[in-house]
Amino acid sequence: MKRSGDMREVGRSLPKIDALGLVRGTPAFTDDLAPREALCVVAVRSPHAHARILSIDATAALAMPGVLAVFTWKDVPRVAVTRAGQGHPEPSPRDRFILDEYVRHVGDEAAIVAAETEEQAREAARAVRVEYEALPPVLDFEAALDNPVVLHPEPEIHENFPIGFEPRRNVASAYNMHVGDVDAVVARSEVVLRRRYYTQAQQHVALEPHCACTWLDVHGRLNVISSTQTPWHVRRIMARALEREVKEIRVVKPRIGGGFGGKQMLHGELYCALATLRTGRPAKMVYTRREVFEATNTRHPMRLDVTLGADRDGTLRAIDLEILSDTGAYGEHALTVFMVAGAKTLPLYNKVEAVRFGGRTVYTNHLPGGAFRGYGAIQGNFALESALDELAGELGLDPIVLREKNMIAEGETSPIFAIMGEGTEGVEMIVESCKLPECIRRGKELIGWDAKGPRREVAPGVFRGLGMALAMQGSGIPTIDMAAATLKLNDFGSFNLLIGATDLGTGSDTILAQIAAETLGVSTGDIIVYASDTDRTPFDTGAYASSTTYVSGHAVRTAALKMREEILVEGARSLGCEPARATFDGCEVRGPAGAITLRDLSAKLLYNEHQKQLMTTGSHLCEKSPPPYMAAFAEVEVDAGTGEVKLVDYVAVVDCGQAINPNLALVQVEGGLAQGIGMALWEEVVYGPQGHLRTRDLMSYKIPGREDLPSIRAELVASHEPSGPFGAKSVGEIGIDTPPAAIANAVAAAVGARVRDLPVTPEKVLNALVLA
Amino acid sequence: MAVKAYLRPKSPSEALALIEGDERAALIGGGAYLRLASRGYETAVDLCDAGLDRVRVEDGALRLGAMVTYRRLETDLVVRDCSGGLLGRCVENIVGVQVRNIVTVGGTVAGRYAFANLTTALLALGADVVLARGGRKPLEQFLADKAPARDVLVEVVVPTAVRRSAWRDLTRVRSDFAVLNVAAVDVGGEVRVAVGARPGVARLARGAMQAAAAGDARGAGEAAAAELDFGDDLRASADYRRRVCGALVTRALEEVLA
Amino acid sequence: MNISLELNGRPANWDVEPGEALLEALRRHGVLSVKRGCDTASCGTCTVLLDGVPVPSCAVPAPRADGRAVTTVEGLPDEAARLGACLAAEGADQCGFCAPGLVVAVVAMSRELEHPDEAAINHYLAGNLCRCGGYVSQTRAIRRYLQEAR
Repeated sequence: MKRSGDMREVGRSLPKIDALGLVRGTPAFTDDLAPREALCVVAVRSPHAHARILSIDATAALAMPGVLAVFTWKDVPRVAVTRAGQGHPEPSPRDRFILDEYVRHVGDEAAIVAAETEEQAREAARAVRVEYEALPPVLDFEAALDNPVVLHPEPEIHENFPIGFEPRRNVASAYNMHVGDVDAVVARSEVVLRRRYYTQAQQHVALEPHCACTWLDVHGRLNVISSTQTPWHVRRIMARALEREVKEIRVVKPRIGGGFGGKQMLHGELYCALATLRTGRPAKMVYTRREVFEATNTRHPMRLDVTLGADRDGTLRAIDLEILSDTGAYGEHALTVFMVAGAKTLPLYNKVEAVRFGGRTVYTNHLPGGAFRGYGAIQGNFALESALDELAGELGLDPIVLREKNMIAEGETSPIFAIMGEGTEGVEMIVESCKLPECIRRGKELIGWDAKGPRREVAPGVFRGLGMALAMQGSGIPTIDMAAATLKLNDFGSFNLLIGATDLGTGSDTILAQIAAETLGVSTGDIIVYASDTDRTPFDTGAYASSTTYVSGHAVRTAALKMREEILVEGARSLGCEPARATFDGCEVRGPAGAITLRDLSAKLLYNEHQKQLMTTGSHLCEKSPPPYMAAFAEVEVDAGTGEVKLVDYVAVVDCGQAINPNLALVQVEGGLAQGIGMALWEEVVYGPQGHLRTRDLMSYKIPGREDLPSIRAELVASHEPSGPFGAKSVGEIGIDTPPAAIANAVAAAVGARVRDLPVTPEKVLNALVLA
Repeated sequence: MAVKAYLRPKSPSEALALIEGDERAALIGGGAYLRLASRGYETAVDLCDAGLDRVRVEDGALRLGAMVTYRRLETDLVVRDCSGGLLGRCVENIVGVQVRNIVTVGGTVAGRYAFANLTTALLALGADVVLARGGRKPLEQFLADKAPARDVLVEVVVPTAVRRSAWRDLTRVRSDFAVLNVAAVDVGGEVRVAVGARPGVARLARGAMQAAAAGDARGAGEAAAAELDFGDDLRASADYRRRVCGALVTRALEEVLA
Repeated sequence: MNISLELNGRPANWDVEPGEALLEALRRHGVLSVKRGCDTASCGTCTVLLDGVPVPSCAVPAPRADGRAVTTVEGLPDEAARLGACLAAEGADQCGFCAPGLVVAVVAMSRELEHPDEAAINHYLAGNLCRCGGYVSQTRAIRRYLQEAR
C-alpha cells in the first residue's frame, strides 16, 4: 500500500464536493425535495408522561377543510419493532409499534393526521379528541427497577437474542463481564478510590429537523426520502412495521443537515407511509423544533460507579465500572450504548490485573435514549477519566504521569477487545497504531502544561486551572458493519462511484471519492458520487459507529483495485499485449509497443471495439475496530465568587491514522469537541415534576455559540493503521469524548471543586467550592 | 384561532382604536416571538408604520420610540452617550444581530418580561413609559400594575444625567437569558440599583441603594441579597441566585462608585 | 392577503396568510435556500435581508414585507460562491443547512463593519449557530473571505 509521500489524492484537503451547491442554497434537503403536492403529516402528541388511550374521536378533525386521514393505534399493523437503525436482527428490544394504546412519554405519538397543508394538519391535530387514563409515571431512573409501575406489559414485545431484556422489571437490557477477580485485587490494592458520577441526557440539535417524505412511483412502490443515517435499516424496519416486503420499498437519503446519531432512529417515515398508502398521495412530515425536542431521542443518562485499585507508585491494578442507564420510554440502542461505555474506555488502561463491567438499562417515562455521537464512550470516559484525576490527587501524582504509566501502547492488546463488542462478543485485536505518547507530548506543549502548572490566580478570586483526559473510540463494529461500493467507467474517462455510505454533512462522499481516485490514479474531480439509495447503490450498514472511512473506504478501495485490473485487461487487449505486460498510471494504459489513454479506451469500450461496460464492486466486512486515540487538554478560568467557568483554551491531539482529507478530519474533531464542551458545561434535558420537558426549544436548551467556545486547537499526529484504507482509522466520534472529564478536571485543579454530575454548572461549582 | 387580518396603523392613536374593545386584536411590536404566541388573536396590529421608531433628546431626557430596536440601542451614538453605554451593553449579547434587528424597546417593556435585561437597565435609569391612553408614568409603577388596561406603549423616557453606569449579568451560554442581571447607575448623584431575572421581573434594590449612597458596595450587595425575592427556574435555584446577587451588585457598584 | 415586495431585485406579488411568517411564505413560493431550523429565532438558518438589514425570517410576519425588499442567498450568487470557496478551502463547510443563512449574515456584516477582528466577527455572527463544526475553521474561512473581498 502506498505511504503518504507517494499519494496524490489521499492526504489532501480537497474541497467538499457538495460545498458550493449547499452554500448557494440549492434545494437538496428532504423538505426541499418533497413533492409540492405532498400532504402534510402531523402527530397528535401525548400531554402525559404515561397514559392509556381510552378513546380517540376524530370526527371533528376529519370534517375540517383539507383533512384526508386520521390514524390511531387501531388502524395500524400491530407488529413489534425497534426504531433503532441497527443491523439485522437488531440488538435493541422490539418494544414499539407504529402507534400504541399506551403513550410513554410527553410527546409520544397518540394519533396521526394527514391534510393538504401544514396549518390544516396542525389545526386538525388540535381537534382530535383523545381521552387518556393518566397512569403514574416512572421519572426517577434509580427507582425504575422492579417499580410497581411497569412500562411495557404488552405481550408482543421481545428481544431478538439474549440482551438481558426483562420488561416486567422495567429492564431493557443487562450486561455483565469480568476479567480476573476484581474484589480480590481491589482488596490487595494499596489505594482504593470509589466514586459515583452522573451524566445527563443531551440532545443532538442537528440544525435540520427530522424530516421524511413518501410517494408511490409508477410501479406502485413506496418511495421514501428521509433525513436518515441508515437507509437500509429504515427500509427493513419499515417493511416489518408495515407488513410489506422489503422489495416494495425504496429509501433515499438526500443531503442531510447533521445527524450525530439523532437520525439513526426512524421518526416520520412510518407516518408518512401510512398517509401515502391510505390516500395514494405523496406525504411529508417535517418535525418542528419542539417536536425534535419532545419526540425524538436523547443521549442515555447514566449513573456510573467507579472503583479503582492502585498501588502508591501509581500502578493501576483494578477497574470496576458499574452503570445504570436510563433508556426512557423505549429501548433504542439500550444495550449497545451501555456496552460501549466500557468497551471504548476500559482498554485504555490495559495493564490492570482485573476489570469488571456491568449493570442495567432501565425504562422510564422520559424521552427514549438513542444513538448519539460518542455512544456510551463519552459517559464512560467522563467517569473513568475523572476518577483517574481523583486518584492522581490521592497519590500526589501528576495526572499525566499516572496515565502514561498505565495506558495502552502499540503492539499490545486488551482482553476486552475480544469480550465486548456492540451487543455481541468482540474480536481479539493487537493494537497496531497508537500514538498516544505523541498526542500527549504535543498537547502538553500546546497548552503549556509544564509552564503554567495546574493552578494560577489571575485576578482576585479568579483562578485558572488545567485539566486533561485521554480517549479512544473504535472504527466500525467488527463482524457486523459491512459496506459496498460500485465503480462504473463512463465514456471519456470519468467514473460513477455508487456507494451505500451515508454522508451526514461530514464530507464522506468527498473522502470516498478521494480514496477511489487515489486507487485508480485519477483525479478526484473525475469521480462522480451517487450515494445512499437502496435501489440504485450497493448496500451499506450506514453512518454510525465511526465506520464510514474505515469500512466504506475499504469497500471503495477494493472496487477501485478491481476496476484498475479491468482497465488493464481491456487496455492490453486494445494494445494487443498481455495484461501482465501493461501498466496503468491513471492516465493511460501503456504496453510494450504503445499506449492508449483512459479517455480513448473508455470511449472505444462503449462505442467502437469489444464494446462492454466496465463496472466493479467492492465489498468490505469490518473485521477489527482499531481505535483512534486522543489526548485533550482544557484550560478554564473559574470565578470563585459566582462559580462561573470560562473555557479559555482547548487543545486536542488526535491519532486517527492517515487522514484521508486533513481539513475534513480536523473539522470532525472540532465539531465533536464543540458538542462535548456543550455537554460538559451547558446542555441538559430537563423535565418538570410530571415528566413534561422544560427544555423544548433553543431558548431553553442552549448549544454553544461561537462566542462560548475558545479557539479550539485540534491537531492530527502522523499515524498509519495497517488494516485501514491508506492507513486510515475513524475520526467521527473521538472528538466528543474528552471535554466532560477534561473540563471537570480543570475546574477541580483551578478551585478544588470536583463536580461529578454533568453539566458542570456555576451553581454546582459554587456548591462544591463551599464543600471543598 | 387563525389570524384573519393584518393591519399596519399609521399612528399610536389609530392602533389604540383598533385594539380598544377588541379582545381578538393584538399588537405586534418586534414580532420576535410571534411563533411562540398561542395565536390567541384574529387581528394583528403591527406598529411598524406608526412612526414609533424615533430616538430623540428633548427636555433633558432621551425619548425612545416603542419600535426602536435593540440593535439601534447598540449602534446609535445618541443612545450611547445618554446612558453611559448601559442601554447598548445590556442588550448586546441577546441572541444575535438578526434578532436584535427586530426586537423592540416597546415590545420588551410592554411585555413585562421577567428575563429582559433592558427592563432592568431602564428601571435603574429611572425611566418613565408613555402610553397612548394611560399617559406618562414611572416604569416601576407600570411594571407593578397588576391589571393593565389595553393600551399602546408609545415611548420610553430616560433621564440623561447619567454619570456612571455598570452592567453585570450571569448567563449560561452568552446569548441566553440571564440567570440574574444587575444594573447600577449614578444618575445626577443618585445611585440606583436594579436586579432582574431573579427570575421575577426587575426590581429596585432600595436597601442596596442606601448602602451605595454611603459608598458601601459590599454592604449593598448583602442588602440586595437580603431584600429581594429569588426563585427557582430552569436556569438556577433561588439559593444560587441569592448567593451571586451579592457578588454581582457589589461588583457593579464598585464600578459605579470608583 | 396580497403583498408586493422586491425579491432579490425583482418585483413579486404574493398571496400570503395574515398569520404566516416570512419564512413560510418564502418557502411556499419556492425560495428554498431559506431553512427552517428552530421556530424561535434562535438559530440563524432563516436569515434574510429586509431592506438590507439581516433578520430572522421566521420571526417576521409575512405582511410586514409588503412594500419592502427581501434578499436571500439566491440574490447573492457571487458572494455565496466566494464565501463558499473560502469555506470549502478551510474544510469549514459541513452539512450546509446553516450555510445560506450564514452567507446572508456575513454579507450584512461586511457592509456594516469596516475591519472586523475575530471578536467582532464572532459577536456579529453569534446568532448563526452551527452544530457540525466548532466554528474555528468557519471563522478562518470568513476572515479569508473578508480579506479577499477587500
